[in-house]
Amino acid sequence: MTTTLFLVSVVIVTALFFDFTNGFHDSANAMATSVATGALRPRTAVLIAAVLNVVGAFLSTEVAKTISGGIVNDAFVTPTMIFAGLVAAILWNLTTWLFGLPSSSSHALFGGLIGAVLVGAGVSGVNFSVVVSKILLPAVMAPAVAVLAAGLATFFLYRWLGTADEEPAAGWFRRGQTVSGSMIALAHGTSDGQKTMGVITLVLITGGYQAAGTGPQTWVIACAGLAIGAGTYSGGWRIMRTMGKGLVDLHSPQGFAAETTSAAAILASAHMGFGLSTTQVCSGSVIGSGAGRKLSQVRWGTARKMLYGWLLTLPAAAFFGAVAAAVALTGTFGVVMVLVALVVGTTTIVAISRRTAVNRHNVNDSRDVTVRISRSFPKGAVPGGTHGAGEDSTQRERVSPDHIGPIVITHSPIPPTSTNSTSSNSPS
Amino acid sequence: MTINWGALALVACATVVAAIAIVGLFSLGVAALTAGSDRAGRGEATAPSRSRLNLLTGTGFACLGTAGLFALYGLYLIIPQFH
Repeated sequence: MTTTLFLVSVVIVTALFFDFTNGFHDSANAMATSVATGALRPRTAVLIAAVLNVVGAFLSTEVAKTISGGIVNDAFVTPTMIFAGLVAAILWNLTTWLFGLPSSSSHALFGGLIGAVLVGAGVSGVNFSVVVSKILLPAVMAPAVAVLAAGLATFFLYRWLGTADEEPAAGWFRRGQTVSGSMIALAHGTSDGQKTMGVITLVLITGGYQAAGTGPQTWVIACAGLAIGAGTYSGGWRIMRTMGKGLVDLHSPQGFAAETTSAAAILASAHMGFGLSTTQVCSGSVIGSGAGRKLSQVRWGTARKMLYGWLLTLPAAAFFGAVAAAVALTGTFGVVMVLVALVVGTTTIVAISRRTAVNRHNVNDSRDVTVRISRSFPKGAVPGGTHGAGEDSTQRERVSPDHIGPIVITHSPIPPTSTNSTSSNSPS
Repeated sequence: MTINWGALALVACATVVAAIAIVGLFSLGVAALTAGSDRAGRGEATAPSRSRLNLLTGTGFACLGTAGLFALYGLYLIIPQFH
């Protein structure tokens, strides 16, 4: 196997893995409110979303001509940098998923690419003005527009129909939610599915396996569609819990208002030339549907943590991307090292998530996504500290401290409460 | 740096107007449909007459149908083969 073929294969596999994380990260966008209000059973919801994502991926013929829409200078970008960016985006997606934070997969990918290009090609490789106009400004505007629109829609809804929460009205709104949620899933498939196709096609062209200027091959379309569909079907239940339960206690009319607003915002932004992040639109709509009814109904603490997550996404992914690029650009061995770090990081995060698993059975049982870092380790110790890959040690630092998410971090198993209690509120 | 403020304002306005229009239509439709059947079901004295009930039901489905047309328009926008 030649070095080029090896690198191309690695990038394709990584791109498909990123597509998978993209799917389970954004599953919540389309279906969290439907699951939370009981409009759809969890498994039905993710099945519909997955099928529509795949259909959407096949429908969309127009594949992105550039990887990043001008954020990085594509002329400088090599497959190795794309690989580093993808690894960073995957690790950030998994980290935010662990904490149950809805964050933009596109921002993670752009961040990873920016970091990789900064290391690989220098400052001139990144168009910072495009970063502001295409990422930062939309990131501020998307939630603002969504909160306003969903807030007003919800306000008028309850104004005109005071009994909206009661049957039979609530049933109508649940039926409406099924339609609006499906629209979001289909729109998501047409936009996000083709991102991965674009990346794979560009890498194939760069590697000389495909003629320049040709569209994606059928197997690329099929693989990318199936990867995002499989990711969507796996559900991303941690994020779904935060969006459906953590921000607002949604009733079906609010869910309908939120999803309709999201669908309207996504379609408007796609067809009027000002792209807004799907994730931020959908989270904003949920907040708006709570605020439009009663401001105090929104759990602003959770919203604030989500905001921190959004602010961190770009710099954190850029940091991972820079580290990954620095290692990967040293040669084939470096690429293998980054690949190992990706596998180790993924395994670690999945292992931590298993301790407080959120799945389709318990997604609606609680509002919080709990992360328990250590199980049987002494205070302050971090588990799994044996593997030496540099990427992974930064990964663990990301996970361990502070309060980035809608989370309750328990550093050690919950201590027995009954015996030898010295707490002040004990009787006697 | 070029920021397309016009497009941004257009997207914001379109989102707000579309959200209120569709959600409003749908909730008025549901209001019409449930107002009639609710009272009739409970056998209240204020139960609407048969012709009024028909009118309410007709209005209700007309509203839901219009909201449905918006959904079809959304599908038209999503599927690139249509344009």
